Amino acid sequence: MTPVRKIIGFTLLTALLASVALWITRESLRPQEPPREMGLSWLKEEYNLDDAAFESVSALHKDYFKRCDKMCRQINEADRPLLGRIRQRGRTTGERDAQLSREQAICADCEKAAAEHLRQVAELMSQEEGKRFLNDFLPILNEQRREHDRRLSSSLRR
Amino acid sequence: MARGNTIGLVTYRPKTTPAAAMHDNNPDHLDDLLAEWQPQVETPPDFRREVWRRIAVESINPGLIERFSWWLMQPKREIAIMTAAVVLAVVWGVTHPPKATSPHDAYLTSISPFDVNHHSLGRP
Repeated sequence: MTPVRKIIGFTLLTALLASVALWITRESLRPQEPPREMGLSWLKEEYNLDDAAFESVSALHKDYFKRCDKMCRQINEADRPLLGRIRQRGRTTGERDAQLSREQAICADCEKAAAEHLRQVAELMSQEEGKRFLNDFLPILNEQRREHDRRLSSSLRR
Repeated sequence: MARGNTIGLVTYRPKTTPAAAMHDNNPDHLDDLLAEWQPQVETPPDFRREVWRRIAVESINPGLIERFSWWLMQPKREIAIMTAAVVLAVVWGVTHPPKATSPHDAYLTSISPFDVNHHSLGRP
């Protein structure tokens, strides 16, 4: 082996070891709490929920998460044929419009369910905190829905 | 068995004698010509000494890369450099931990079906 190859090999091996060490270190420091649990804990602190209200809020969320998982699968299934140029090939405009209408209907149901869930949670809070909670999340939910539609439209235009 | 002809350092042994080639099923005149060919190569008397002298000169004056490679490729030095790199990586990782998701964003991700990170939550 030539000296240059030896140096390159040694440098690559050292870089690989350092990268693995860095990855292991950072992953071990990453918070392990699932986002749903982390979010609920935060909700209790942020909106001053007492234990009884928090128990009701947790039960509401547990039920909502089950419905949400089902709705998300429906959105994914409806989005899949509409996203990506290859998937659009060979489809007539009529077929595409039908898929788009179905997708929009599912998204409207999901948005309605999410907004309804937020209102139910707000009712379990004090009036002031409930109003603040809705002001915090309803606009973001609406904006995310618009952003979702923009992504879909831009994919269809390509 | 054909006997070889030695001229200087070069020894030539024909595969077959010309007579044997004549008895082959497909006699080739090129075999005969090759068997008769005797290269006239004379190496100088100090040929071997000169080769070793040139090798020795190259070994005495190695280039910068060769010298660096020799310096680096000592087992103790290699281990020391690798250990230092790993320690530095761990220290950098500890001082630059991954950006934690804010609890607000975690809650939003969990409840909004339109959040870009939401769809990974329901997967098993």
